[in-house]
Amino acid sequence: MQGLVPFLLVVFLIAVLLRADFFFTIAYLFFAVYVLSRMWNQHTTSHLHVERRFTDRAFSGDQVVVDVTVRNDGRLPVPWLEVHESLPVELAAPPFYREVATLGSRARRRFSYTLQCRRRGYYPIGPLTMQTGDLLGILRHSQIEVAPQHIIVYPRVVPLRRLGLPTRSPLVALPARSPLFEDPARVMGVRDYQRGDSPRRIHWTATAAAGRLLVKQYQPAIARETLVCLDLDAEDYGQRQRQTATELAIVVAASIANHVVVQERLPVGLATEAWDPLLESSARFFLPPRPERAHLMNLLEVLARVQTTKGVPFVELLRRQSVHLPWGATLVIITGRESEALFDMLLYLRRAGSAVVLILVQPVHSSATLRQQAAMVGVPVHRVWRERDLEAIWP
Amino acid sequence: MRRNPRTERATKVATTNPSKSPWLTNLFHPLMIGGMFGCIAISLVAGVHLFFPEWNGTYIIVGCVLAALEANYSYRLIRSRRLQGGEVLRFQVVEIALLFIALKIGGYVGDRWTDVWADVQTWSQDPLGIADPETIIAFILAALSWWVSTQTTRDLERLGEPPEHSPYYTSPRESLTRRFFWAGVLLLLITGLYYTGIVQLLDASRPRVPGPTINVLVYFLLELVMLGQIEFTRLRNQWQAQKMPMPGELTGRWVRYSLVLLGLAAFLAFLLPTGYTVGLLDVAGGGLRLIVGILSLIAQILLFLLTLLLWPLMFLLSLIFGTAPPRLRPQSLSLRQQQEPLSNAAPGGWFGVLRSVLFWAATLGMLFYVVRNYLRDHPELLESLARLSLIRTLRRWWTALWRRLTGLAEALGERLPGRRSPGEGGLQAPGGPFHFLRLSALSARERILYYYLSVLRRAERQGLPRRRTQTPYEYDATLSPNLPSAQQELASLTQAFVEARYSPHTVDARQTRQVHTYWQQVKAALRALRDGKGGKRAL
Repeated sequence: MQGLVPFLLVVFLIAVLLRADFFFTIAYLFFAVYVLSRMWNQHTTSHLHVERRFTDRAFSGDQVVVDVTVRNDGRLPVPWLEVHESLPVELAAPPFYREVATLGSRARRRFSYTLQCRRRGYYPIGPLTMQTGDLLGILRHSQIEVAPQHIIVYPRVVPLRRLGLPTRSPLVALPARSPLFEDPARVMGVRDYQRGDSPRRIHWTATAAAGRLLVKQYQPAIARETLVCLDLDAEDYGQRQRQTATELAIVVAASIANHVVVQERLPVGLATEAWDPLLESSARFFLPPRPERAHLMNLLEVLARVQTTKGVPFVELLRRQSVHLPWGATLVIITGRESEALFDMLLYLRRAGSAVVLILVQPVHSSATLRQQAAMVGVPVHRVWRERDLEAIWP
Repeated sequence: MRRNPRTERATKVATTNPSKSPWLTNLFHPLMIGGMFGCIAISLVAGVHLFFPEWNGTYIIVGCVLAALEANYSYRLIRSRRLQGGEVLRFQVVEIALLFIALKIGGYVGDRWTDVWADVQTWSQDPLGIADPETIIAFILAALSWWVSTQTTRDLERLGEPPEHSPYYTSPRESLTRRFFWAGVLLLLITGLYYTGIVQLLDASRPRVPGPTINVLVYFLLELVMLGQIEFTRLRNQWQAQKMPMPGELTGRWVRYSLVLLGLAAFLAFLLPTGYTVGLLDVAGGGLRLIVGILSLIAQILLFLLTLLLWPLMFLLSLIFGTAPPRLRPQSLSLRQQQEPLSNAAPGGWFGVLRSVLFWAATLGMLFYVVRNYLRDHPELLESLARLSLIRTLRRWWTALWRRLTGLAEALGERLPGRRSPGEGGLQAPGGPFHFLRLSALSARERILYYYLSVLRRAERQGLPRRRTQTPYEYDATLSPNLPSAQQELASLTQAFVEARYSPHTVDARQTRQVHTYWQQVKAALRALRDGKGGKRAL
């Protein structure tokens, strides 16, 4: 209220000029109302607390109920309180939640609303703005802002009953002639201890039985690991189809990862370079293949929030990540565009001992040369243009 | 399809005023507005009584109240019948004419029938005689009441409407409050002049006007009630327009809390001193004399002590040189003499002086508080004031003086053994009982640093100190389990501190206010922890 302070000053002036005692009382009355309102307002704003409870992870299609509890810890009541929670437009329509409340002394009020997780992503829930004020409207309204929390909506996972990925063995690991890699889970036998052997390899039970130091001999092996390489370079997707195609690429990546871990119980990893809204910058993600479900959730979390970016070309990413892979690992390459450079890289990967699958998620017709090149490389190429194509490829 | 403008307008009215309480619009508002105009009219009539003591002006008071009530009713009638242009004009002309006739009839109240009849008979010869000065004055007052009441009703109807994008737009709330305030000022002036008299206005020695004035008190109480009602209506309309359901208990609580607030404010207002016998300059002069008296008393005591110390030496010297030692004569304490003029000058003696000092202290404190908060709430005004050349010059002088003084203090601090210089260690929280830090003197960035450091100090007192090796975020992770009710606020405060301390971002006043809120909440949580209400400690 603009006029109160000038009014008070004028009333004081009149009271002093006219020497009327009662006019001072009138000025005091307004002053007391002003001070009490101010103190009340300050007290309530410093004693208001908000607690937001919700499941911060959900799958696409889930409904998440958010409980917001506003608590007044002060002795004075809050006459009115306007609560405004900003919500992402992808999860709520209209993209806000508003409520008016009044809180008694040391009282609390609970609101709840439901989010429709229609699209994968990393979304802020909030900020929540609370507005309160005095009863006579003589002060400016006070605003309290509560920082947002975040929810992760995992991408849609399409169930794949049988994933037709190329592999050289149905087993987790293949026996190999080269003793370069040994599987400590496969004990082949024992032999006498030799100088330089790690003490960890000593087979204590056999040593005790034989009366001399014996060490374990492991079977040389290679692991069947799957690495999903996801192309999120904006340059590899057409302007018009970028949104749909990249979303489809993410759904494909999530579905394959889920299938490998849940159904086949094999390790799966992820390599991609994308925009991360959490870091607010482009980032390279490399999750080495692991078979645990917790790892799958980490992987889905990354897939939930990544967006297209303009960074290092995808072929370059493949080249850099291939050095981390063991011999015989399977690479599932998901991209929007086939190119000569890509096929060169696929050939290189095959020669390096990896099994490679190419999944194209953008409906563009490749040239005859490229089709011929793909056939020469011997890499299975799947074209997934809709989610149901995924089911058709792996029924 | 051609649209009917009346229907459109009616639709607009319906959308801008989603729901109206008939009790409020039909009874409460008209009565309140009528009552307020009645209070003003009482003072006006009392003012006229000074010049014409025989005149009975009660009918003008009644006329003003009725005009206000009628204006409210007619405004809503015009709206409900959707009258437009010429129809409204005709309606209002009839209204004004009826008002004039009613006032003319009111003017005859108390007169004998024969006198009335004689007066009526003169109308045929002198038609202008109908509008005699008394009737015209009464009519002007009633018409003014009618017009202001119409405007007030219109503004009340517009409460909660979305604002117009016009540089000349005034919100209905502003318009209403301004009207009530300035009408109140007018009422005070009229009432004050009635009691004081215009002739005696410039006489400084005139007696003060004691005792309450009922109509003034009623007016201002009604005004406060109306302010509460306006705010409530505005918010309610706004919420309803935004489709935000209002809790059922809000109305009842609003009324209860408003009554408690007004009751408490009225209690405090009647408790504070209103009368003074010594003027402001006299009080200031008295205070100055008191300070001078105390200083001279201290000087005399010091002189006496010095004399006492030097007396043996003087005695020895007297033995050597053979002169008599100076006689030890305590100096007379003249503080009482210094203060006598003020207490003697003030009627009512010391009690009067004390009362006046209390009164002026309360009044000036109040004015200072109000103006300071007003300027804080309106930083744009403060900025424009700071741009004035006079203020800039004064600030420059003050800054130079302050630097000189602080430099002097630092130099003194460096020379004193075991004392730290004030600038050492950057921004320090106040340590001793007499070390005060003036927050308003700090910049926005420094304030944020102060808030964080204050939390560190308070947490340390609670046995939760920050280790030297801990970063602010690590300390946040350690402290926040102890403050479950303010974890988010602590995190935000830490974040703001890190930004203010390590980033070159501009820190604005809005951010500082936000951090101030976090600080208050963290402080409250620390207090709760100290009092054993904040859960268990986990450090």
